[in-house]
Amino acid sequence: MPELSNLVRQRLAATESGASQVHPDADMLTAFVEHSLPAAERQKVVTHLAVCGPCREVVALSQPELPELVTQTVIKPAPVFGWRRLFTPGFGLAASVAAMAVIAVLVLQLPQRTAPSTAQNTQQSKVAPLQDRNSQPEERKQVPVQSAETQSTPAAVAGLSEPANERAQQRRERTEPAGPKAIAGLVAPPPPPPSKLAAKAPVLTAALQKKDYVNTNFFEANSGETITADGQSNNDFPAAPQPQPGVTMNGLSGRTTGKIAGFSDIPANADGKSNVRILTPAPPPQHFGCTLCKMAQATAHTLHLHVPTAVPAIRAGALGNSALGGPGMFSTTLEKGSPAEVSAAPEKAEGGSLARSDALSRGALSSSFRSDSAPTVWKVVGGKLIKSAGPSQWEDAYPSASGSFEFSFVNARGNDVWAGGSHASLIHSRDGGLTWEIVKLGDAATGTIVNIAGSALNVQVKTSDNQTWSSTDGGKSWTLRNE
Amino acid sequence: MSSGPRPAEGTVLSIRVLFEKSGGERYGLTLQAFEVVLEQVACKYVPQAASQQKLEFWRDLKLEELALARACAAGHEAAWQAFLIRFREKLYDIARGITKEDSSARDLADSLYADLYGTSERDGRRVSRLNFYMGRGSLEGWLRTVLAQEFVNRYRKQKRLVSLEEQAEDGVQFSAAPAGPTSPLDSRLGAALDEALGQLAGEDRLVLASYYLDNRTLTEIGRMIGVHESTISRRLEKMLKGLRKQVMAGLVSRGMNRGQAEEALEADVRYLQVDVTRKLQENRPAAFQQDKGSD
Repeated sequence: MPELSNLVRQRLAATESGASQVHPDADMLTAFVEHSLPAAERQKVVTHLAVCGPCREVVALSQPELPELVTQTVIKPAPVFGWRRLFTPGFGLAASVAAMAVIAVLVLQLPQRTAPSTAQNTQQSKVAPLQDRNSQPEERKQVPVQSAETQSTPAAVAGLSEPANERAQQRRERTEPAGPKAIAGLVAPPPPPPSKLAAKAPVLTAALQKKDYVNTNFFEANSGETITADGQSNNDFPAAPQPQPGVTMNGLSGRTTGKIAGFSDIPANADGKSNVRILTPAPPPQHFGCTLCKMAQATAHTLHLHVPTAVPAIRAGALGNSALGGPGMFSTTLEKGSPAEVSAAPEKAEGGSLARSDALSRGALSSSFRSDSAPTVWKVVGGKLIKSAGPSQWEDAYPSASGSFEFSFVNARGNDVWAGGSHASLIHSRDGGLTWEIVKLGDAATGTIVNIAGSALNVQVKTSDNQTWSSTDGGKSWTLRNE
Repeated sequence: MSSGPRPAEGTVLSIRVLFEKSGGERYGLTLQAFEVVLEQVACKYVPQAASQQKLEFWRDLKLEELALARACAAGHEAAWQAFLIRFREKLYDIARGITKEDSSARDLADSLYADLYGTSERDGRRVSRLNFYMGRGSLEGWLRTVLAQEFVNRYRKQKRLVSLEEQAEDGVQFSAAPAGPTSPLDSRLGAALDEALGQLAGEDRLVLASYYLDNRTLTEIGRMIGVHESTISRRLEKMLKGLRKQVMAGLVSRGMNRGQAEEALEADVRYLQVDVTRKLQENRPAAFQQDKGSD
């Protein structure tokens, strides 16, 4: 409506010429500019301003200057749309946390997803060779039934259905030539090149089949066929795992005299402590370029090296899950009901549990588990501190305490043993109970020690009087936290 | 100083409270002087109000700044120190914002300083411009308004003084005589439009005048009225539609049919475009703004 605008402009200018010359004072205009005038006065000012150009000019000039809009525009961040919001600080942090959580779940879950099939086959199939070695017909009958329930491999079932005499003869043929080779391979540490290793895989596998019931069955499960004694199977076996001292130790001890012989020549483990890692089969074929798989393997390897020494030397859960990091490997609770349980822990090392076990014969295990690799189990029974001296053998670990106080709690981590009892008595051994030192909590310590927790340096002791003593220097000084 | 009727006892107590609130004692102002100031303000704006109404009116004043300004006008040194600290630089900034130029801004501010201090005398007493501050708005806003008024007055004074050399350089002597209106505006159209404009509210008329006469932007008008610029835009559009309807109705009521009314509006546009320019140059006081940049 341009024509109307011009008309309005013309008529407004015409009416302004006759405007009242009584102008509002500076106070009124200031109050109008600041919007602090009452409604009635404001209306008066507005009516005057509508017809008074100079006052409108004064009002316009009296307006406080606007803040620098240009600066505001520069400072104001540009709007972010769509998926780019994920990269703004707030969303970026949340996205980072979510991504880390997903990676952590994948790292922890990936080994467990791949482990069950291997673990199941390994745990169930490893029983068979050991039973065969014991040549017990009753047990041998149980094995096919048990294997048939879980193993669907025709070759494995066929192999188990062979006559016992033939199998025994076949196994003797397998074992005798292969054993020295395996031992030689173990004594000579340098591993063969990958090609040679693959070529020797049947031989090593055959050797391990009798000695390392874990690795053997691992390959059996993977190959789907029974490995022949002469290693003439045409299957493309995966690269045979490098025989480990722990493997050989058990195999040799069972095969020979049942004593620990010649083990000083066997190189120790990588860390000298973990006895689980040496029983792990070869890692699965690596997915080249798969970062998650590498992370999972790295995590599993790291966890292997930190397996506490209290874990039994050979445990079905650990063996079954192998290097893939299954739950049984890191579990500190022993599976008492498992028929394939083999444990060096006192509860598991007893003859009864061994007899119940379908995996090992008592003779094969009687001496080997008495070796140093079997962890010492500590108990407090009847106010006395006892430790395992062998299968079903216990000995008083601290006889000097008899009569003076009664033990109530013990906490052992390898050779680091803490034990406490009445009158806030606390003793500590750093060498697995060979020597003890009496630890003085403090003059204010009272009651019976009910809990000892912590690591090597940070130790926390609780008493029955609700006292909590803590030490950060391995027991040299103690601080009462609360009472 | 003149003193009005003696206030009631309750009012005196309230004035004491207001005086304490103003902090006039810091600037050397006495309670009696402050009471006189309050009475002056009330006499100017609410002369007929009762005591209670006066008290309510006084409570709405900028008491602290009122006491400062009046103490300065009375010549108290402490008040002047406080005033200079608070407003000296600010006054220059305000002047610079108005004149858009440093030298004229400093000149404007200095002249106002002289007025605030009181260079003129009346009845042997120095008259400060701060005596006219009534506390309705903030002292800074009042100073800004006073500066704007001074600037407008200066411009209008200077506009009357025209240099003959400049006129000669502009070629005024060769310019043709201004032509008179060749097609006078239809009186019916003017009457219909005046009637429609007269029915507008004061604020709407202010918006129209600011937009069409002063060439203010929507943002400036919005700030003046206290609404958002989009509101001003909508109001303008709505007002023009309503005005057109009313003008058409007025023309029809004055004997035109609808087609004639439309033709009158369109025919006059061509004439009004020239006429409006001339009218704005002649009558519009705010036209100095177009030229002030070249001064």
